[in-house]
Amino acid sequence: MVKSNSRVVRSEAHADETALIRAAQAGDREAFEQLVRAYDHSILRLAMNMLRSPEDARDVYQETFLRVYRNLGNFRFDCSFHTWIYRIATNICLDLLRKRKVRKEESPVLMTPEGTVDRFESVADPSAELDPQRHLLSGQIRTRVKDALAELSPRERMVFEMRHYEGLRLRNIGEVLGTTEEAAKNCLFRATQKMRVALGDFV
Amino acid sequence: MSNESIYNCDGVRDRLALLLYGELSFDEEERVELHVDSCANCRAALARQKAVHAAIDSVEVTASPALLARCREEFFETLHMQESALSHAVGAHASEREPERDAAGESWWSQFLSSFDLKWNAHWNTTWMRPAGALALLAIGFIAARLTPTSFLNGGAGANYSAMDLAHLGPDQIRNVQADASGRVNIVINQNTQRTVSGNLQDAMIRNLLVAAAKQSSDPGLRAETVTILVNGAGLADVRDALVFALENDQNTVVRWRAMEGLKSYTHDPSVQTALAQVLLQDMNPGMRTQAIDLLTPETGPAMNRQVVGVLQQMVSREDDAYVRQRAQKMLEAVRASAGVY
Repeated sequence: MVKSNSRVVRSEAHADETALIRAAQAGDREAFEQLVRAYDHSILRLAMNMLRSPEDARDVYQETFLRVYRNLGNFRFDCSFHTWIYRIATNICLDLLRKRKVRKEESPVLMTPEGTVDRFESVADPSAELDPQRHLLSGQIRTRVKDALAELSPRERMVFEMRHYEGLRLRNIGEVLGTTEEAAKNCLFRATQKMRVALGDFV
Repeated sequence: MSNESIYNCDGVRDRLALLLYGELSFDEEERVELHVDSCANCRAALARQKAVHAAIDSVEVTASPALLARCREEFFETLHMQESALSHAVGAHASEREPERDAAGESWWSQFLSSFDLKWNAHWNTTWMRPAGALALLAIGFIAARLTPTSFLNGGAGANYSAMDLAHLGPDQIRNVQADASGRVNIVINQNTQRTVSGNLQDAMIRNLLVAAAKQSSDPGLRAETVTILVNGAGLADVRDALVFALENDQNTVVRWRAMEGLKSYTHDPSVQTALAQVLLQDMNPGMRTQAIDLLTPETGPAMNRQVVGVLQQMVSREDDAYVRQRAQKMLEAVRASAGVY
């Protein structure tokens, strides 16, 4: 039988991050840069999967960290820093997705100096090249998945993205989106139903 | 179990995706599994749902290291420009009206951040809310104490669990893990009935449960969350071993990424250096490889593991990604080892 230690344990990593945040709030530029570097890979990956466009992902990156910079002084540790920063990034992604829905601007092709390329194929997917299982999935299925993802509502897409690709639990997703775990669960349910229907013929 | 608690086929199929995500309650999961065990059609539907998940996995994209580097460069450039402009504007203003701030040596960055607080306070005088807030907190505390299940209040992991119980846990019997701000961890276990054990990372039993979940759970979300909690105890050898295991073996990029982040203060540990070398050689994700090189940077000089130097030399000649290759070259230059001869 193990007896619980009643002493409050502040872990090293947690304490490190808290110290970094406090230092950045106090004006330490290096601490701020360390915070950016700790989270920017995740934010960029989220934006890439959500928007499937390197140029939009770059915009999300810039806007997210500028807002972090401007509002860091208002962060009061009443949620985790991870939740706070994801909340900022997801709001920006949602805004962009909603604008796309309105403008219907999500063209499948993208004009670049090198010519026209498929928007979905213009982002790196190294795992697809190296995992033999993924080779077995036909191009048709991949196209159908991408189409189905694009058809989800912005909120469904965001919840689905954070659960499936980012591995966040519904409880955290609810926190990030400022809603309940139950609402996030309903959103995920709708998204998975749509994906299942869209892929019904293939699996 | 009564008949009304067993789902029909429609009820089960509606829940298969949430079952795979590990997001059903204990009761719901029991009902779904009970039905699937006895229904061939629903077993086939579960197999199809797994195929849907695999298909969705196939379109996951990652940001290239070059894109990440470009974003960072652009952002810090923008930040620098904003700071310079602000410094100029505030400097002129401050020299007229706030000489005491300059005397105190406060940075422009700090002044910039505090300006938001000042604005907020100017618009919202919240002093009157403090007594009301204190009363509200008392009320919340009272209600929470009345509503909190006893399993959360009865002390450590051992209060509900014996070591023998733990020895028989299957890989997916740990259903949920959660840590609060104080570092206390709650672990939900399905074993005949659902139970919650609580404790902190100094409890060996809690650590063992978390390590088992990180290594064996089939749910990548649970593994990612478990690794995030374990990162807080990376100073402990068994926790560090679990993070190294996740970094070297987990199929999920998020899990591997979090494990690597958790190990960044322990690059002096030879096992961590070896794991980072494995990432450099074998990880499919170029972002992981770039970060691994970044983490090895403090190990420049004689402290660097010879194996890592060897790996960097291989990276210079074999790595496909130009950015990663360039970083490896710079690392080698930093340890004064020729890319060709060491």
